[in-house]
Amino acid sequence: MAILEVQGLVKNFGSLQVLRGIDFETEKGQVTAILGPSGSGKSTFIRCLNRLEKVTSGTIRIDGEVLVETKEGKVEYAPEREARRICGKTGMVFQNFNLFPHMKVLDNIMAAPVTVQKRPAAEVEEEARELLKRVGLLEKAEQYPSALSGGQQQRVAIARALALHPEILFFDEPTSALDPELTGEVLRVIRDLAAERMTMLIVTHEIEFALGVADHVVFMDGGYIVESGTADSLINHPKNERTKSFLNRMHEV
Amino acid sequence: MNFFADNWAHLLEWLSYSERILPSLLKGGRITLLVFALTLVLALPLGLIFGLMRISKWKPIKWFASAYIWVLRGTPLLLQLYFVYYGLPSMGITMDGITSAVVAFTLNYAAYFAEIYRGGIQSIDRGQYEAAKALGYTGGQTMWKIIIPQTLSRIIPPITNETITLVKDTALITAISVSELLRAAKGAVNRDLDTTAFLLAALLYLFFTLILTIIFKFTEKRFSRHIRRES
Repeated sequence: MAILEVQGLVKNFGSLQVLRGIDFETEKGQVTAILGPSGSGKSTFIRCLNRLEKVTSGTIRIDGEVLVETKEGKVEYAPEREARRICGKTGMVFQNFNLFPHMKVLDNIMAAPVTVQKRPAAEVEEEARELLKRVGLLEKAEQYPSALSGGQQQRVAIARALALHPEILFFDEPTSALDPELTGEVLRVIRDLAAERMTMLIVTHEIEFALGVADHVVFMDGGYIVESGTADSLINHPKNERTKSFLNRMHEV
Repeated sequence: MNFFADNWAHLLEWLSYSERILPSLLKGGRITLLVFALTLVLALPLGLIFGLMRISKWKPIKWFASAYIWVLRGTPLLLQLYFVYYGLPSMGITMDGITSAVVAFTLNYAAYFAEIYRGGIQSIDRGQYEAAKALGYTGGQTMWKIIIPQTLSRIIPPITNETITLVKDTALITAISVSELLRAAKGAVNRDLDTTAFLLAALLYLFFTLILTIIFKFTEKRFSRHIRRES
């Protein structure tokens, strides 16, 4: 069953149309990489999926539940509480990590399960330490984020998102703010998640990584999905001219 | 030898005089402290309310808070004090001097604190709101658990400044005949034709602001633990 269904997604910023009608679906356990030049709308696309951006029109269903739909030209979001519950099935990892600087690493991970999901702190703490172990940062539990490298912060951010048990994880260019020597440790964590069949939607510039980790690749340009297919077919045998030229440019770098 | 003996005698005399007038100064100091403490306790939360209103998405609320801040910061505190003490009774609201002082100071300082809170809140990165939203926080939870705690290390220095100013502003209430520290000192000076009381008052104000400075330094440190400083 499709865990995420998007139909006719349009997003305008003022008079600028950033998304021009996106149709997209992903299955449980599937890893999808979204590629495309900057300004193609790929970040805006995933930001619409958890309401960081309000859509101009279109329909989004998460795990079969309607987050937003458009009927006769009228956009209708689920009521606030419902929408928050539906979006609770998603998690997000940001380009700039956005850890909470005033909380220690462990508290960053525990905060949302305790505050939002009202789970008992003792149980959450045990799980948070487990997650930290998984991303290889258990010894940093009592540190503040400012004491961590970018790669470490991003791994904490992934653990933080996982602590809410999301059905699907969104990554918005998770390695773009990192020094090249730090991207590997983050990509490794994502690869481990893929191996565990975590459903993920990853906006990235790392083509090799996309090829290695994604089942499915989507190429966006100018607010459209220009081409999509299996990672191998899209990256190694692109059909669309724009996909080809983008991939060529990326390979030159 | 005579010189030292003379001065020694003077000093002893001065000390015993100081000792005699000190109780009345301390009595005034207690009023000063009372007005100061009540104002701080009331103005800090009231300022937060105005600060949050000031950045409200709801326009009328925002305008109201802006107008409030404009008026309270744009007119002399002494005038506001007169208004509360002399003006309000004509509208049927009569308060004693100390209450009037606390009301006027609270309303005034809330306006200043509001701007400090607003600046602090607006200095927090948008990514923090987005992370909170992505994690399912409500607007209120985001504000209380994520945004405001992060503003603390930034707003404590300006709040310290305002608070020290408040200590000294309490001297204004001598104008509505409340026997606070300055008035007590002035009473002694007029009675004894000796300015020692002014000096003692100055020392008491200094002692008081010193204590505050130490308390705030400590608080600032406490709320800046997460910030890494290059050493």
